[in-house]
Amino acid sequence: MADPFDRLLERTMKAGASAPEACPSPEDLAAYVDGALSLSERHAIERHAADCHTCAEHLALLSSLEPVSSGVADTPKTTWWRTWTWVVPVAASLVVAAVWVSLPREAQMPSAEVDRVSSAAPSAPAPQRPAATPAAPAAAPASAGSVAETKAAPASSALGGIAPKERTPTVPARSARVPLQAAPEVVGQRLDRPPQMLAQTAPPPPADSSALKPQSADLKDKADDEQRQRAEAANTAAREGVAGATSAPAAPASALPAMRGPKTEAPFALRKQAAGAGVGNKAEMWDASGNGWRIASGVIERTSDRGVTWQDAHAPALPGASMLVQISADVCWFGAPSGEVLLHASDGTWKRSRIPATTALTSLTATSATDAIAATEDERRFETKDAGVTWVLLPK
Amino acid sequence: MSLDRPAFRARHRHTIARLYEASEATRWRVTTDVFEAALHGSVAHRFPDATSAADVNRYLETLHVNELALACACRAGDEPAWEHFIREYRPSLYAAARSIASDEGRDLADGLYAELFGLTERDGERRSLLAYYHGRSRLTTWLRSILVQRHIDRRRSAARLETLDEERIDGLPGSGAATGPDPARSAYVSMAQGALDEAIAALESREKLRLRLYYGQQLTLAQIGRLTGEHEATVSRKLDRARRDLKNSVETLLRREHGLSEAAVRECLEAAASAPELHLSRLLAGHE
Repeated sequence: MADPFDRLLERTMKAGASAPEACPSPEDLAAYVDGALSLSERHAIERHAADCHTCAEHLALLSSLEPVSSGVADTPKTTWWRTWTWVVPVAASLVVAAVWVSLPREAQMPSAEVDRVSSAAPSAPAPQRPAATPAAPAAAPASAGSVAETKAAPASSALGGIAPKERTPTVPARSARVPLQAAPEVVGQRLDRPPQMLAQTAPPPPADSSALKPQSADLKDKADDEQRQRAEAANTAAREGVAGATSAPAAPASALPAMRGPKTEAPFALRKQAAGAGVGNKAEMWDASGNGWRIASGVIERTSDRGVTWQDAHAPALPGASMLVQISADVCWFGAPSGEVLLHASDGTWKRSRIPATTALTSLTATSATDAIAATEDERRFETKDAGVTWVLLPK
Repeated sequence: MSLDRPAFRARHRHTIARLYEASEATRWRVTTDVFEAALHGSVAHRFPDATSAADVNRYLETLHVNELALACACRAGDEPAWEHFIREYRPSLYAAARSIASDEGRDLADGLYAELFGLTERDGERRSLLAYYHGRSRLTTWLRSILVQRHIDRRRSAARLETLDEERIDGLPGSGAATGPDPARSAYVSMAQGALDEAIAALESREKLRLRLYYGQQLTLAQIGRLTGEHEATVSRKLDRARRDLKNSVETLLRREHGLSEAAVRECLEAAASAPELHLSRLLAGHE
């Protein structure tokens, strides 16, 4: 954290503070963590913990523990303040999606967007435009909620830390509409379970995306949060502390202009650069500690200083390597259209595997050092839960 | 004043009966009277003042009644209930203690376990810590919260006995450091910290909490999001915005109120970020 302001802020926030009122009880803090409080109670806890070092520490320690999966059969609890708040945004999204699907493809987005989506699809190369916007995230419509949203939240958040973020707006990324009848790999990336932090496939579009309809960030945040909460409630495994990421295959280097934005001084970036964007067919990521990976001209490299310098990772050959998903400083998955997958494990070893398919590998999603899903261009998905030792075809 | 027991029973008879059945309290031989007392205790804790029957009913529906019944049975010393507790809750209790307190986790968990079992006596009566479980949160989360409280209390008690690290007192007058405090630098430190404190005070509570959890407690985006019920991307975006706004506020305050130039503002922030005297005063505040 080089910026002196960040250092000052960190020291200030680490320093002791106490709120004037008495601290809430451990049970109240437990109820907060469980989401069992009313809105006003939650706000009261947050108001207090914002100024109370002890309670902030209490919440932090509770949050750092693995999520609970109670073995006791429990009467379903209704967090009553959440009961109905999800209905309206979900219903609205479904209506939007239904309208979207019914429209012809060209009517759904301007030509620039069509090119962007096309260029994101390796099996459907699009005509290139010199001033083309970068490949949009190959995302499902926003009605899928987490897909479009998490496209803006790249995989390095899965690392348990923050990586530098480009100072690019996230609303346009979320607003980028991808029709349901887009390239097959888009459909293939719509996982049955709520996707975790998806790797960016490309930086968000530039400011001339006036055809996109910006939405109120706060309202969209709330709607997206609520949709996501419901999705997450249906899959407790997806709420484990390990987040995952999906990479999209890199588009040919000549297809896209270099869209690397200016380096931001903000410490909260979740992705540095999308797969496929930029010169040289690069894709790179790093975590809050500055440790990261990239594929540069087919060579797998590592960094320990947030991409300032890169060193050859001495990886086994992976011809055509174009996908990477970083799980932690040392754990990273790599994929190539040939179907070959490399995993750098935490013990420093490389594990090579191949998905049992003859069609091209188009995307790789990983949620841990052992679990990953690979999608092929013919919309089949293969899952491994043993770091690639076996790949199992998932039902459609 | 909160509802008394007879009035509670009269007004919520049907809800109590339904929850009793749903809780499988009979599995642990918990009587309706004991279960009702537990529900009443929970309501009294939540609503110390009078409130509407509808609010009470709504609250009762949110309780983890199975675990409340189990807690009642354990407090009463029911053996099958304790066997169930040991099988289902003890492992995660010890795992959480290890995670929180590493080497001291075992000791921490043992102490808590003894209190749960009721090895402490007050006025000749065996008292179990489970008497303080009201079913509002899951039992596991409640147990973890108690563990965390114990851990923080232990650590603070130990910290009061620690001597100051010599590094912390470098740079202070009389500390034997090579140079005494620079008045100009001290002024910069004071300006910067004052500006930051003012800017932080103007933040909304949730923004402050996110910053405190991220910077102060070093939580990840995912962990913060789990607490605040937000997605990682949302947490990241809001943290970024808050940090940017804070920095702008601080720089504006320094320029406008103290007449500092751009270069002086940078120097001011750099001085404050590395000032040992600031570090000590804030650390002392943390030990209060």
